[in-house]
Amino acid sequence: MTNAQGNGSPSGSRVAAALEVYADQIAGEVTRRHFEADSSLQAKFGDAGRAKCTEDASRHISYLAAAAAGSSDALFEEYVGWAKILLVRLHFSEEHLARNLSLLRQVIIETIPGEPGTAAGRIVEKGLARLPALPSVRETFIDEGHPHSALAQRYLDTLLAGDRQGASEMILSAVKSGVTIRDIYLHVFQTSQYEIGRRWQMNEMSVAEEHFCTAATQLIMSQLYPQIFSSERRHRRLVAAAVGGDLHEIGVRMVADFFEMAGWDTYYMGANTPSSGLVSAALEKRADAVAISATMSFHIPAVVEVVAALKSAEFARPPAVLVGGYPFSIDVDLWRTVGADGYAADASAAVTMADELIDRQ
Amino acid sequence: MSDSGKAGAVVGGLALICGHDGLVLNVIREDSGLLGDSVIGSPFVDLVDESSLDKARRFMAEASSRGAAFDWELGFRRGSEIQLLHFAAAASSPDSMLLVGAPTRSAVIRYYDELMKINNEQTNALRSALKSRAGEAETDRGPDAYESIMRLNNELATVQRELTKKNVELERTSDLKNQLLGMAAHDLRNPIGAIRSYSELLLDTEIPLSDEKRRHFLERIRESSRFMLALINDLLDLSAIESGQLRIDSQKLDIVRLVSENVQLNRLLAHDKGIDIIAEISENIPEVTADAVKLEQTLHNLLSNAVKFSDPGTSIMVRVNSEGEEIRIDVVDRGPGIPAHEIGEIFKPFRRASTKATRNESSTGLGLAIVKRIVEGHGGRLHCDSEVGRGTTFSFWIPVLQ
Repeated sequence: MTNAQGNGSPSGSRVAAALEVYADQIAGEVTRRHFEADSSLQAKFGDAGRAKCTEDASRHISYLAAAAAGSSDALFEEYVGWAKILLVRLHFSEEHLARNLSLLRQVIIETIPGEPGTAAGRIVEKGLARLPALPSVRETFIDEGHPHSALAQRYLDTLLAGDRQGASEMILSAVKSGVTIRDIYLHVFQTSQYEIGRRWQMNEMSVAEEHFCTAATQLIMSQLYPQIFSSERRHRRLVAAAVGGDLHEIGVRMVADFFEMAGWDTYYMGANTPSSGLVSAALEKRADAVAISATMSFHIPAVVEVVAALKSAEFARPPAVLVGGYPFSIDVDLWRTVGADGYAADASAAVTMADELIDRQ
Repeated sequence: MSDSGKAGAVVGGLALICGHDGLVLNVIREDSGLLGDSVIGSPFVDLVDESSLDKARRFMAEASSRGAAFDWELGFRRGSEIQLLHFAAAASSPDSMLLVGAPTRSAVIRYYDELMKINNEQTNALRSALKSRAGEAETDRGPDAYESIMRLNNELATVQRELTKKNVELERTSDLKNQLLGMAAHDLRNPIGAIRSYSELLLDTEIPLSDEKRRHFLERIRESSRFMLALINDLLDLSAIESGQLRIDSQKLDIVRLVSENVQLNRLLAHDKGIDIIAEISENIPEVTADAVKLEQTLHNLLSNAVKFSDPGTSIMVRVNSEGEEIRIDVVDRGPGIPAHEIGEIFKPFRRASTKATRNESSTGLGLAIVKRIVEGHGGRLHCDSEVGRGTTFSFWIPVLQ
């Protein structure tokens, strides 16, 4: 293997690329060894269980590659914490996950030649070391101390009872009685979406219910649009998108809506926009800012690609590039690593940040 | 509790024990009011509405073959209505299954929790099946179907957002159009009135008029029609821009030459009022990609405005500078200035500042609105700085590259 970088530690993107190349092979081998070591697995879960186990191993590798690409071991540790809660709630033991990860480390080192294999193994090792200390439950996001927590709770309960109409009326009447749309977004929609994710992870909610609640919230949001779009224009333009077909695009749509409320003209591109499409939209709309979101850390490589494409395009006035989403809140320096101009923790902060970046220019 | 056919009444759930052959062996709870009297011994599938018959068969087959089924929606007839119930099933013994139905999936769980308090043995199996399978989506819809629905829903939400945005924009444009129309009609009424009165005077043979008077009347008629023409031209420009038809025909152009020529032209007009126009153009101004005709219109509007509001004996300054990736052009006059609270208004159609032109020259009230839209159409911006008694500076920036 030719290595222009000499003997130094390999770049994160090389480690990520190596993992991608060997992903299927590694996932298959990890599962084979795990089932071989624990014969009760085959008896209990059968071939379907074996396939699921391989799927899990592939997911470990995707997150591992993302952590490598973002030069952020913390991302993988976070993932291990997430997987622990999920598996424990599905009645798997922590030892099961520990064994699976340690097999993963072993197979990676054996399969991927040279430094990239060692480097990837090191990240797994760190995650494994953190495993015992990580919590196996996640506390509710609906915190009584937060504003409008009672409304958020009632909203979620109503949705879970399948009463979309009731949930919608609840929100519209709250707005009518003076609760701001910003508060509804941040304290009711965002909080309930986080809570839905938590309950799914804790095995308290099915995928069907999760999707239903999200879809209902999107519809209810759209009933607020006429108000959102009526604010005074400020002639600043935002192009926003989620990357890589990320299904969880409700967050970035909320961000776009916050920009609208602040008088920006926004163009929301959805989640299936290729990076070339995003760049040409930013050029065509003469965007002052571009907001890119990733909710899963395995979408980080796609963010890196989009940001690079934006940075190399010829703009009369280059737009400020903002990134957001869960992985960026785990590792506070990740936005720098992906080459963005800034990161904001929520929709409101994103607007302030974009205005500041542009005023500074 | 079982209720009567009251519309909107809360429907409770039901719990049954069935054999693997699909026959109902026992009714544990019936709070739904959906089952008839003699269900024991009949096939479960006969209890559902005809529209759900196939689905009910698949549900029973899955429950029987896999030992559990989860989140199936089946319809039951209640008078003329179809009531939907979510069903879950689990093997409760080697030869029987427990079926629980309730109006929503979460109600199934709640209903089931209720049952737990009553009948532990038979519900234990269902509990473990429900809990262990909750995350796996082993239902009549696979995970891929959920993903497609989610994607579809996302796309619909995006389209919906786009539509609402467009709708609000259309409403805004339509309001503006009505407003423009009203103001234009108002502004056209005066000159038309003047033309009518003067022409009637001229036609009336009984009124003796000197040649000088006749000439004066004809001049007023000419001025009024000129004003009307200017107003209509501006209005056409503005409405083309507002309806999204502002076409910027970008070409490489020598902005220094464009400014110099425009200054020359306006110098002739300014000369009549005893006003001088001075151009101060930096060196090394790059070529820009822009629409020459529109930029000329912009400069002409700003310069002719400056002339209108300047006193004889003063001078107007035009500066051209290069700032980063942009060209900046300033038009500076020593006129009466604009009060600070009016500056935000002057770029809106028909909003004139309270200051009067020094020779009462007429103005359509649309010039600055057009200028602003042209500059922004080029990706640039326009700014006004003014001090009452000192003068006004209009500055605009346009990017070198389009």
